[in-house]
Amino acid sequence: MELVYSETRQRQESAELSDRELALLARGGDMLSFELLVSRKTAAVVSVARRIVPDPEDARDVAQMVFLRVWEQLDRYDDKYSFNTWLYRIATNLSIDFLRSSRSREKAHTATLHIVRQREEATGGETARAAEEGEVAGLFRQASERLTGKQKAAFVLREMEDKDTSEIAAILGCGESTVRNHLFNARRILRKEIEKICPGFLAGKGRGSR
Amino acid sequence: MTNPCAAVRSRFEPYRDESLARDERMAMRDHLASCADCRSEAARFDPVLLFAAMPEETVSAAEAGQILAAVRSGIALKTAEKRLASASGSGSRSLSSVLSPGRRISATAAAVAAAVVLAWTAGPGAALRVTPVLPASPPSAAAPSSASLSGSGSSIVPAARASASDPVDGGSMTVPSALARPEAAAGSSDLPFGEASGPAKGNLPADATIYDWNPGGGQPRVVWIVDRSLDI
Repeated sequence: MELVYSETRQRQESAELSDRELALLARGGDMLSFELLVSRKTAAVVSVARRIVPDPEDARDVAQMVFLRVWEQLDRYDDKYSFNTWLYRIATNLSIDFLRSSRSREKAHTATLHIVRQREEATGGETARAAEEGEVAGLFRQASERLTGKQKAAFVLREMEDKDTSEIAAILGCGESTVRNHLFNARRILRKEIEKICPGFLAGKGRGSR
Repeated sequence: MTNPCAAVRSRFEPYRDESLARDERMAMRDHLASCADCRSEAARFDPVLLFAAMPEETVSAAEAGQILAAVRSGIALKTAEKRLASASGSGSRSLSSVLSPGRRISATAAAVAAAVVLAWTAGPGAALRVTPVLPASPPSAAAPSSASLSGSGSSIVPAARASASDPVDGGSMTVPSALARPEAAAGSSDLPFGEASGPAKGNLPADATIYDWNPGGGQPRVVWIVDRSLDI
């Protein structure tokens, strides 16, 4: 069996290329460039998926699907625009699709149990900051269950991925005013949910600040 | 309270109302991540500001490696699907749906990572040409016209393919006798794939499942060997 290994390529040269250049090379069939792009973007895609999809394993599946979709649709990528925006659009769309699926709904209960467990574990050997981080992340997972997919995606892109309103609009394929509406409604719903889920949590924070 | 704290606390309202510039937002988030007092103040001002200091998600090297491996395998699967579809005409079904209905994509991809497409063009007893499933290029690129992709500049051959039980030897393998007979494939008649059984597994990994495309059909035949031990 004759194998041709990609190691013969100049990885270093490729590593200096921009995302857009790598995408164009990948579109021409260069798998080395595609894999480099995957490696470069894995953290960002997994981060978005984990924020939107409650279960970490599901989020990883979504991340894999994102890169497969990228590979399948590279011919549709318009290189006049940012590769990142296009990638985030695929990542948020697939994450939202996943949220809508029945499988995700089935797992909602499991995710909630996970949060409870995480809180219990956090009181153990972890540092106070780590415990708090885990608690806040768990709180977000639980409170954000009430958000629509678009509201959740807009909030995640804004608060956790540092995207501007215009970028979020491009990613979600809507106008900036719609993004602002999504953000406003997301905050309103989250506020209500936090107060419903754990009023004592906030009271504790308030005491600690004095 | 330090000056930075005072500055941050004075910006809670514009932060919430989306009127801060990007660098100001990021500076505020950075400060909140490191200052417990200001986090408490922020939460009291608006509980949603708790999420302004969420820790960054981290991806371990192992997890990144798993994702890359699954993506490679998924591409190999899709490439093979396209090739099978073009070989069998418009009536073919999705290979992934036949192989692993209802399974996670990662499980499917990992399973197919061990797949080998065997193009059988000769009669019983002849050696098979073994062609690993290699990704060619995205669908937009020129469709491969040849069955061999050894010149594609990339190779996707999972580690499991190098196992001691791997039947591939020097670019060809001896056809297991059962596989060489169309009747050995025990597939249902309405599917293009059937699961082979019996002595065909003799030379293959213990967990291998063999899918025989177009069982009982004419030449060429394609056999998928799926090593279930790789399921994740």
